[in-house]
Amino acid sequence: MTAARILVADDEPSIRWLLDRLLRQVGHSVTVAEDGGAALARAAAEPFDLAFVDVRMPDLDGLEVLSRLKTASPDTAVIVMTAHGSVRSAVEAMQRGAYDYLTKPFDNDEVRLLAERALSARRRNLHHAYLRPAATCSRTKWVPRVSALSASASATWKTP
Amino acid sequence: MTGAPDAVPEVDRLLASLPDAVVGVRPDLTVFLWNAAAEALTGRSATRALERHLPECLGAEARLTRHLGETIRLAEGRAEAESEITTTDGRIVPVSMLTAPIHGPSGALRGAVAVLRDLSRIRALEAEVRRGERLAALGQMALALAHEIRNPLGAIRGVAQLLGDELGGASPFREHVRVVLAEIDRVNRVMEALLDLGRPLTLTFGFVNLHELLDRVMLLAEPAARAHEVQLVRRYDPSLPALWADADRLVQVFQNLVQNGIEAMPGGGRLTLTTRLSLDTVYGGRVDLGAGPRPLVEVQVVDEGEGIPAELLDRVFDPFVTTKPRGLGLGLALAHRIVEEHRGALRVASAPGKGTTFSCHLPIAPTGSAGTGNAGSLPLRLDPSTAPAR
Repeated sequence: MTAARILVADDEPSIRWLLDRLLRQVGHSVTVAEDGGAALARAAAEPFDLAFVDVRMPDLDGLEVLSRLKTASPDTAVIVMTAHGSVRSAVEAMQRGAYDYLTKPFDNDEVRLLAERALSARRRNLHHAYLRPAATCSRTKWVPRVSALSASASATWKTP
Repeated sequence: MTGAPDAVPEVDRLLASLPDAVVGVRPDLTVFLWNAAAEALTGRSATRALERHLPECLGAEARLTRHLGETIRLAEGRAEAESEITTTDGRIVPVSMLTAPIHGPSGALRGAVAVLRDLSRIRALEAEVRRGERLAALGQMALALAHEIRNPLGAIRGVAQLLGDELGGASPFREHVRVVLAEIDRVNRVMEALLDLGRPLTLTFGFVNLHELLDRVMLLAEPAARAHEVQLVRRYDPSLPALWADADRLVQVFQNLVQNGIEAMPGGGRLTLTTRLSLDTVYGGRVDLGAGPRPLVEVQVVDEGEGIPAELLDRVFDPFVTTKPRGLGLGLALAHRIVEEHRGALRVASAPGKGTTFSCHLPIAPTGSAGTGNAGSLPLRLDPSTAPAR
């Protein structure tokens, strides 16, 4: 596992603290942002390999942050977080180029696993882009884990 | 009654075919008219009403008796939009009630007539609407709460898990952390169930082989059934056509009904799934707006448990109503909603001490659009060799 630069954008201080701690423990360097504007400002100042973005933040919609992040730095993989667990916004996030999404409350191992997957998928894509510079667009096309989406959608129906 | 001799049967036929109950009494309150709808509404046949004293038939305090008595005393009509009548088997039926005095040719009072309209169907529809409104309100609340609850819950869960990691595998306090995590997950499941109820349901319709679907549900229920010593019995009508429905949602509905049935029989028993064409007079010819009346299929889930207390019976589909010591009471609310969204109906009947029957009425696939030779639209047949073993 290689160290990566990760941005965490969430208006909840405890979630920021938790993700910062979790990702540092496995050797990544983490920058936190308390809202959408701050996240975009940090991303403009330095490049990130991966960003965790909450869907709902006071100033900017997380999906809007996602779109602008992908436009400004298409190589940054983005994982969207939601406390609503609404499948619709998850689908929309995928369409806007998110690598995957995370439903709160989450499992710590799931966070780390997802981060590793996103980072290795990003490395693969960059590698391909390097080998074939003529291939356009392909490097921003992450393959979403659709199976995870449908699994979580059906899981919500299991409880009585 | 007066009139030309050949006009009398004509009037009788007219009264017999009226959907409203018509009751006529003489000034001494003896009954001279009791039409077919009055028989159906009260459960009392005309032969047991005609030429009898109304207070003896219905009771002196019955609303109808009092209204007709007043109409005769004051010689003026009365109207009551919200009244009720008690049937011979003790049910109270909501009705609207109109009374009018009957005057002879000379103007003398000859009696009084009452017209009663059964409002139970309308009341049932109103209850549906209210239930829908309650669910919508609940959904909005759940959505607002979700963000405020799941964010701190997420932080608590993550930190507790970190704490567990710090303790290391040998610590006796690992178990404490495990309990904390399990309980957090429980809170989250409640939250998800609430969110589910509140969200608009989007159904993905397709041809559904009902018996295959029910077999799948039964297979999943096998372990629980065995643990409770419950025998699962299938009584399928093999000639039933395919349904037009959302298969995943229906699985949810029947999983819920089957699981409830099993849990209702802690001492073991039989849980029977019966399928047949819907014979229900109310729902069987239910009008599907725009598409005309559609035939329905009925699935009955019958248990031999303790039954549902009468006072809970008409509220079992409301959210937060449950007979289980542990449980939120959201499962049946969701099942009911799914069936309603299919333009079907989910109903319950229960006899205390004997068991409970849930009847699920579901629409058949439209034959016009199914003319593509879709295998699912062929009559279903349960092949014993494909049925789950045991």
